[in-house]
Amino acid sequence: MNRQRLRAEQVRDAALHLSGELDGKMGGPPALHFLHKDDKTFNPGGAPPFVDYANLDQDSPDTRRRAIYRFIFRTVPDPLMDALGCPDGGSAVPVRATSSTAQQALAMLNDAFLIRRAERLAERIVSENTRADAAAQVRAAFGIVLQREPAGSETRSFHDHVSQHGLANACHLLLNSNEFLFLD
Amino acid sequence: MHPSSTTRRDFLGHLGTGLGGVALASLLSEDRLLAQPAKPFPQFAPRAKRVIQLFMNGGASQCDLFDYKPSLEKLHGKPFDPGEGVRVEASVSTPGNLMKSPFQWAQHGQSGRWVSSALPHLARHVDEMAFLMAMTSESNVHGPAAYLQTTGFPLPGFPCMGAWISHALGTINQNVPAFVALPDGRGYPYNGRSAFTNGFLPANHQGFVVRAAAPEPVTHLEPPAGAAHITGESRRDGLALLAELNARHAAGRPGDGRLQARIESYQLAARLQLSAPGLLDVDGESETTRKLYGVDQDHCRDFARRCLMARRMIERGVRFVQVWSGHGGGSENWDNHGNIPKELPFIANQMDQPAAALLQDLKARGLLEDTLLVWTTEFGRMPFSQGDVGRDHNGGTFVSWFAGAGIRPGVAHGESDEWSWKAASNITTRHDFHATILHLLGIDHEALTFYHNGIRRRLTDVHGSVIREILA
Repeated sequence: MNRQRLRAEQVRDAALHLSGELDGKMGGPPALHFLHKDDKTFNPGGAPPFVDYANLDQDSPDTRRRAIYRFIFRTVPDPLMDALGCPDGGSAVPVRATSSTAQQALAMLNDAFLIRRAERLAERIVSENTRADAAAQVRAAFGIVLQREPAGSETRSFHDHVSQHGLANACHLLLNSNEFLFLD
Repeated sequence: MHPSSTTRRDFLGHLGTGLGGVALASLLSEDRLLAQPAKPFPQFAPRAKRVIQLFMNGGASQCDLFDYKPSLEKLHGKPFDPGEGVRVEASVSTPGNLMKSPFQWAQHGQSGRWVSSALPHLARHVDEMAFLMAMTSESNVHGPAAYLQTTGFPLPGFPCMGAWISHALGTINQNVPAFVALPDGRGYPYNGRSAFTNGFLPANHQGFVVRAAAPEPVTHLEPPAGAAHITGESRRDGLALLAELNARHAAGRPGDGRLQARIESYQLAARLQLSAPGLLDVDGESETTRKLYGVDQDHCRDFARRCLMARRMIERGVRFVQVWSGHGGGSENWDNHGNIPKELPFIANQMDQPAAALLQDLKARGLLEDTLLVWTTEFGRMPFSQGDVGRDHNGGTFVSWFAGAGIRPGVAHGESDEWSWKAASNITTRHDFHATILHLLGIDHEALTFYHNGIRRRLTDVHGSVIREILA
């Protein structure tokens, strides 16, 4: 199989799955991943639409739903999904864009959704591990995100990172790694 | 062809060019000897170094702006009769009677170009412009027609002109993107993000989107304020650690250029974080300049700020900037189905002063010497009414204009028929339009190709000729 980069929806769902938050419920009303001003936002002629992605509560129940249940606002797309090459849904797209841009790197580093998932993943690791030392946390994080043991040098460098900057930062780094984003 | 990617599909696709060649390309790419292929462009001395394109989303009405037809005034209110057996149909409505423009017409400048009272500011600059008076579109549906203008093809999946130019020429300054898109503050145009797509070209050529009206114009430039654990120090250490992790991962997987591309994208991201504020800082412009563009006026502030940003961007080395007027919604764009007297001035007033100011400012700063300014739309509108006083889509004829680098000022090329219904003489297709822009940038449109799915693709497909009549 050719190596594949995870698609936008897969990145989103995988991050939720790793942090233990993914709501796998099937069907139901669309999940809104933005704030809006009721009918004014959705009616034609209600321009400019009020669609606010930045101030969404990243712990809201809708946030945890699978990406296929997203309400897609065609002219004002979700910035994270957009950066990861998710089409707007307006017309059929023969091939998904899955390559790298600077905007995508910025999204992976700074998007509130991914940062919150990294924090949740760190909380999950702490709650599941009776041993509170950084080395055990690094092993757990590698196991969950990359599904392998850290190499000796990785244990050391990530141990230092966790000690200085906290486990959430280390988890966020792993979510930014090529090893997580590409499927061999 | 991208020498560093050697998936099975690419390998098979390139068999025709010789097995030895593929193996060699793969070996060399691992050593990164071929990672930066020499750019064969520009092929000849370019007249333009950069381009600003103003795109009127929705289909700007040529017969209410630039294409004056006295016969429409004579025949106003009469049924449209283009002759025995000539089929008349509109995109989404039943053709109404012929309708003269509700605006006043006058000739302007030395060149005596007709411009309607809907564009008082641009009318003052007609002597700088070269008009394409008989452009045509094969589609009169927004999505495909906009794709035709942006990519040359009616279907999604093909690269935009800005992406082709980025691919051919790259950026002038390594700290800024080559292709920037400035969509309307109300939202994306009809084709959404695909209006700025790289199509099958490598993704680093896609339009870098700046949402000028948003509180955060370049999304994700900074972490959210609430993320207290992310500090300058944690970020610096983290990026170093990430680079190590990714380098080790890539070392075990040779020959996959995407892994290296992703590593490099983090480096460009870091450079962008430093350069972006300078691109966007319209508040740092003088009061005079801000007033000239209309930044101080509510009705045109959004377009004015984006025109001003466009100028700042080309000054800082961006190659191709696209500024959109109007979004893809049901109103507040150039898609004036319901009421030309009301809907058209609404959007024209938002565009007119800033666009004229941009032209004037570029000239005053000497930038017009090597910057091409392009004003265009996806199609025109019908000379007959839709409903009472609206107009339906018309792929038959529409108007675009060029100004600046390499352009013969004050000329017009082509004419529509007596009603402004269909292009009649010296017709300009989107292929000719694209070929001319590439030519001004020093690129032969037949030589700019990219191998994809067994075909050496071109922006101009197998068509197009440079419109020499509008060149200086």
